[in-house]
Amino acid sequence: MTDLSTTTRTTPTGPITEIAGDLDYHSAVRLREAIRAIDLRPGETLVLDLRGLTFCDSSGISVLIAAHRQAEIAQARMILRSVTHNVTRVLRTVGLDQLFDVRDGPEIDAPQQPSRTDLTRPGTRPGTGTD
Amino acid sequence: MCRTGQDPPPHAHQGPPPRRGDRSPGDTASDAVFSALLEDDVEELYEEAPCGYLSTLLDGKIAKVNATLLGWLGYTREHVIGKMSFSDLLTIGGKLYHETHFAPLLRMQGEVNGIALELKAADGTRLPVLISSKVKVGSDGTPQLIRTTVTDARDRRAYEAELLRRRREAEEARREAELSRKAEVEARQQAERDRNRLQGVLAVLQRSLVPPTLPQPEGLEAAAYYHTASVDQVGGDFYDLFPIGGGRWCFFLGDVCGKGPEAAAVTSLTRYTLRAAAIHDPDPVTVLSTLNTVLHQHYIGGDPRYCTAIFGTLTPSDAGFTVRLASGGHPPAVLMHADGTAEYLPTPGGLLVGILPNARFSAATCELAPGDTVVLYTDGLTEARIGPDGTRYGDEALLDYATDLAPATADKTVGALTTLLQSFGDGLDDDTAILALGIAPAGSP
Repeated sequence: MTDLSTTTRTTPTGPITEIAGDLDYHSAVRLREAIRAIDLRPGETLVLDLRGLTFCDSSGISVLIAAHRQAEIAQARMILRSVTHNVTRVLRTVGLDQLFDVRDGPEIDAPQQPSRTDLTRPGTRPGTGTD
Repeated sequence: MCRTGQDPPPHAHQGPPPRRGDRSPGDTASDAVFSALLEDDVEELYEEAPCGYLSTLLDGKIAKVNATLLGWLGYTREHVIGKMSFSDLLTIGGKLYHETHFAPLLRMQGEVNGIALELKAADGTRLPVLISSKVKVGSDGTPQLIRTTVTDARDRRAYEAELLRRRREAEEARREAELSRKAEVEARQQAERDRNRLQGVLAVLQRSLVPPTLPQPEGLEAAAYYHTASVDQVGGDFYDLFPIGGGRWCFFLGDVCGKGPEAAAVTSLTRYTLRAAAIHDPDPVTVLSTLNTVLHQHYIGGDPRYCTAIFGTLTPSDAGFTVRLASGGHPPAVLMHADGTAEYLPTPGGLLVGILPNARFSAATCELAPGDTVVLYTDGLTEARIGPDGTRYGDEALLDYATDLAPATADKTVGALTTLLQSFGDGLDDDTAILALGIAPAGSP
């Protein structure tokens, strides 16, 4: 088991948080606090770089959902970057691959459009997924 | 200070040190001063000695007393000499002690040393002292008078009092420590009782999240297992199996995000919503959509609560039963066939239940024939740590395990998975629910 570590740096497009280690029931609170502390401005993109994320359970999923809501409330958007095979499978199981903006490469386009899915506003649909 | 033979003597500049019987005139002069200092007036030495002196006749009358003692007691010599007895100087208790112990002892031994008594001064104050007395005998051996020294014991008494006070304090502290230790033990016992009661409550609550006993539908075999990770926290896993008439049955199994009482409350809500929705319309997609609406509305604006769940129906068919199921973000069920193969039942597109107001779910259908068993589980099983490096059990391992196990009845499957869970030991740190539904193999009773 690898302990969870997070580092956040600011870029012109918004903060980038690198998450490494195991994200489970025990470490989820720490990541939640780390992301809660990030000051997101309207139009910014919060990038969660998950290349070092070795494990993610339902508690970790909760943190990602909370981060997504936090971005929406701040009128920003959230992108998951460099998601490993294992975590991709978890996201697919819970259906969040349809909801989250998941990117492969390290380069992030400047935000062109608002978040694809709005968790807080009724009547919106999940983004185009496998369905 | 250490001196060696090589060191010059301290008065080397004055010549060799004086030797006995070889004195210089200067030495004689200083010796005289020294003698004068030492052998000053013997009378003064008596009077001003740092202790009290007292001489009494054999009947106790005071014959002689020094100035030191008079000063301590505040008497004049005229008051005392020939007028007072030694016992007159004592307190009442002192008098008693003097009569019963001190005087007889003195008569017997001729001397008594270091007896603690209290003298009474002229102004009534008490002076703690130590008394030593010795009988002076004449050349014919008859007692003549008693000589007594009186030592001021105020400091010593104060010291003793301090010692006593300290001892009382120490005893007090020891008693308090004892009391607080008892209180601590009681608090611990109370905490233990509270904890046991809480665990009892939690166990009841936990049991309310799964059926007390699993029904055994006609033509089906059902078995379940629930692993509780912590006796101090209610887990969020749940399952159920219940009839909806016409030989049809509904089943579900799921996992509410989080732990503790809040999660348990959502679990309860989830379980009753699923049962009520199934009675209204058992279609799996409809049931999950209803649950989604309920959970989303219930927690809108508050702390979002959601769950993963598989809901399914069992309808009697020619071959056995038709299973129709839908998943809301839940790990796929495993289908173990009578021919010894196993596969995951894909239920694509299902999103976590309760997260979006209008999440869509899609249903999958399969046939259960004799010898087939379908297994539902929560992710405690696949996410159990199986190695020191934190390796998780995983989906592939589970499918391999199911393939090795197949064909297997529901009972055998749950038994085998229970053994598997137990083999994880501490690596299994999440609640885990398992529900297996199967049809007895052809030809079995």
